[in-house]
Amino acid sequence: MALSIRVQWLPKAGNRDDEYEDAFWPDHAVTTTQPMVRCAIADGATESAFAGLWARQLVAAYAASATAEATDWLATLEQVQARWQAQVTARPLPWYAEAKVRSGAFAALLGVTIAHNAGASGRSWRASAVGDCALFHVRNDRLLTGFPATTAAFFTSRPLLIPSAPNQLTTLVDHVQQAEGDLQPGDALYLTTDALGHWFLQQAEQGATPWRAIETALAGRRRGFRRWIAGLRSQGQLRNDDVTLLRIGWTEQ
Amino acid sequence: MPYQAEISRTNPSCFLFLIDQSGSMEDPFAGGETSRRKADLLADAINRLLQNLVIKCAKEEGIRDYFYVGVIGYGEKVGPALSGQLAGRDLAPISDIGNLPARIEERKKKVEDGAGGLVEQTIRFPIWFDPVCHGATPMAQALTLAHDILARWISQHPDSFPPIVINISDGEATDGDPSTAADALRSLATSDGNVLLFNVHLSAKGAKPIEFPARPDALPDEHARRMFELSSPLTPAMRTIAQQEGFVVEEGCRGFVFNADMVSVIKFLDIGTRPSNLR
Repeated sequence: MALSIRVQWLPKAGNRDDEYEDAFWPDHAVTTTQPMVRCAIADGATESAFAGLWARQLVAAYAASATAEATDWLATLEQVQARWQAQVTARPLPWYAEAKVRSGAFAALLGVTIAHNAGASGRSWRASAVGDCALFHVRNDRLLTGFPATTAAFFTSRPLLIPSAPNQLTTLVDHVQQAEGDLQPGDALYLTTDALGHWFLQQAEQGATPWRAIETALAGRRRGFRRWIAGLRSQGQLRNDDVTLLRIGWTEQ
Repeated sequence: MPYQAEISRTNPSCFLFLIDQSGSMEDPFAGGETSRRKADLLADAINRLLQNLVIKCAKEEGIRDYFYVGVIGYGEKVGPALSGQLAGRDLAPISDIGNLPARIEERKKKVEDGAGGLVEQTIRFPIWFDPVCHGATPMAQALTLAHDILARWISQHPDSFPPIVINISDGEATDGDPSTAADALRSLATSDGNVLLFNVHLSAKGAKPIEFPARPDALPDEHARRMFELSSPLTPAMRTIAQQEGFVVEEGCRGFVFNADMVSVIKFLDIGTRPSNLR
């Protein structure tokens, strides 16, 4: 048995690919039998500048933490913040970019670590999240878990996000949410940023099976995914936002 | 539903500020504790507002043109009021505003150091607009000029989020009743709704501030009531923001503040210029 990780992403309609401000890890499709796998997605806030950079740094920091603890990435946050600051101020900035840097960048992060169960044959997942990225666990054509969002209404409030400036939020640890579950053969975990997460739960609340639509879209690769998202946006079902979808499946090799 | 259009670089919106520059703006501000002239406080507020608008549109690669912005002064003359390289332009894309201030001053600002203390930082403070106070108050002319500028802009951007006009004055028009010109301005429309006209009334009287009223009953004089009548209702999204900012707002409340202190004026400007649909 192996873990298979697939990812698709798109910028907002009307934006260029280089203006996409979500991030994901791993940054390419992977099939692996490694005993521990760490995946993450992040969503840089549009209002801030250098938010895409901040999101990319956060997912990389999550992935680089080496334990099975879901929140171990918090220990390296200060270093990541310093790296962001150093990188954005490396060259002289116009007055408005300087003002943006002063207020810092913000991002939502959701990371999940999948590891062998100690002494058992199965695997387990542990997730931690700040903000409104989402994880959905689907088994036997049924939604088992939504985390941290359990209802579509979750996405209508302004979430707390991870700041790039250390003095913005000293109590971040109090806002980290955690969840865990076991992973069985045939299960799938979907990690999404907020627009797609909102759509997913709206569909589920109406009795639909959004994971089937996702599977069809993923089978169509990049072009199929693009067409599917464009369709949802034009029907008004999906807010025009950056979209990221990371699918983790446990399947026969 | 009107006022839902997405604001993007391909479908930008527009802000037009009308600034009273008449002789009476030389008077000290009655609504606050300071004895500074209304014209000085207002110039400060406009410069801050332009800064905030630019910063809102700034990304790492530069300024995204989500808005066109203009500042019209009315006093001794009626016309574009920005200084420096932007002088004479009635509307400019926000990237030009950000890149072409008349000058950049340095100001000190205290910021938190993250360890419970404060440190002083020097920040660059761009200036586009200097205080002027001379002449009468030709508000009707200013509203007519705004109409002409926006009619032209709308013909080029027919599906945009409707332009927002913010008129700041001590409220006593000297060129006749401004109602007709204001009606014509508010009747301009894009496919997403009518032009919004909001008013800030800086009264000479030390009367109690009134923010976002739904009825004119509590307003103390005829000038204030007229300014109220000229004002568009807040859109539902703006009403929500005003509520979040702690204002008590009812259904039908107008984009109008009477004699508010400058903090409220700046909040008002922020509410009027904070779109929820920027992409």
